[in-house]
Amino acid sequence: MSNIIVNISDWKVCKSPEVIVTYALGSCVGSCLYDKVTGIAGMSHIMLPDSKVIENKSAVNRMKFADTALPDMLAAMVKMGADPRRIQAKIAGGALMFATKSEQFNIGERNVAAVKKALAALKIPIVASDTGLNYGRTVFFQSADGKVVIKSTVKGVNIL
Amino acid sequence: MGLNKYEDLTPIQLDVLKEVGNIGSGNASAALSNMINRNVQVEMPHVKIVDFHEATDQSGGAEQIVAATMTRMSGGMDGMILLLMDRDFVDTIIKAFFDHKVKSLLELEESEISALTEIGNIMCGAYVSAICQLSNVDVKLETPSFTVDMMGALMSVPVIEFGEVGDKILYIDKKLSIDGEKMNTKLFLIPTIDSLQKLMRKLGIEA
Repeated sequence: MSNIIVNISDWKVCKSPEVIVTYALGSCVGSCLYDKVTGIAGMSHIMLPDSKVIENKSAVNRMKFADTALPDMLAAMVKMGADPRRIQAKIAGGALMFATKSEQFNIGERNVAAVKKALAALKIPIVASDTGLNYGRTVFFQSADGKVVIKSTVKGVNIL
Repeated sequence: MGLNKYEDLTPIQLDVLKEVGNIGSGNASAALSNMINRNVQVEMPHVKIVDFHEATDQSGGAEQIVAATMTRMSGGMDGMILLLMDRDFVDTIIKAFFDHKVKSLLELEESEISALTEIGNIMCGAYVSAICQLSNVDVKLETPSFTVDMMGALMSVPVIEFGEVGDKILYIDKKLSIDGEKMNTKLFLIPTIDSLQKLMRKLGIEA
């Protein structure tokens, strides 16, 4: 069985026992939402915090932003039969890849904050996270058991 | 007519960018050649407008470990220059500087990092100064910052930065060979859309 790939500004949902993967997250944030009972899982890979910066709403790629991607993905999971009251989240990414003096606004940090805000608004608890710092992460999300396996060049493997 | 998205560039403008990239990379290779005293050749650069996922290569390739310098441009042109250096390139440089090989990209010594950062600095400086002369714009370069990580994560940096308005990104990349050996090393010039428009106006090619 091949893994389901989530691209940059993208999300996918699936059912146990499939595995969803997103490669080489930098400042982007991967959010893994899981309903343990039904085994329904969803992973989103957002690039930017807030869609409200775009004036022309019809031109918004909703999968790109934290505030639009997460509600959409949750709705898709509920449509498949997941119960929103049971869904929990694990998040990863939001690194600062290059430290330079002009990086006053750390986009990775803002992405993590926006994901937290969006999940709080949806009343989804974050049960584990591996965010920030300065390295890239590849994220595997196993819908069979809800485990999130994070691989990085610097820190090796971390399982949430 | 304004340029609002990278996709709006006309074929003629793309050709001009290619030539700009060509002159820039010729200059950058000459600078590199001088520094390491080897023969450096460049291929004709590619000008690409690609989807984000294509730029970050959402496949196995995204996880390839590379060394990189990122240099910010400001003044007459805003944007960044990303130099991605693969293992062979790093080995060639380190051999030229210190006459030894690196253990691994993840175990570089301070002196090796300084040398590679300096290579980034010199190559980007040479690249940009060629563009400045051609278009009569004055571009300021920051000191480059250096890191070693997965290629996809590094490519996502410009993609995110310029990703607010569109879903595509423009970059000019070139490949080079040293003493006839092809290097999987790429130099990406990534201008903002506003700067691109300004550059076109300076070169007298408006849409």
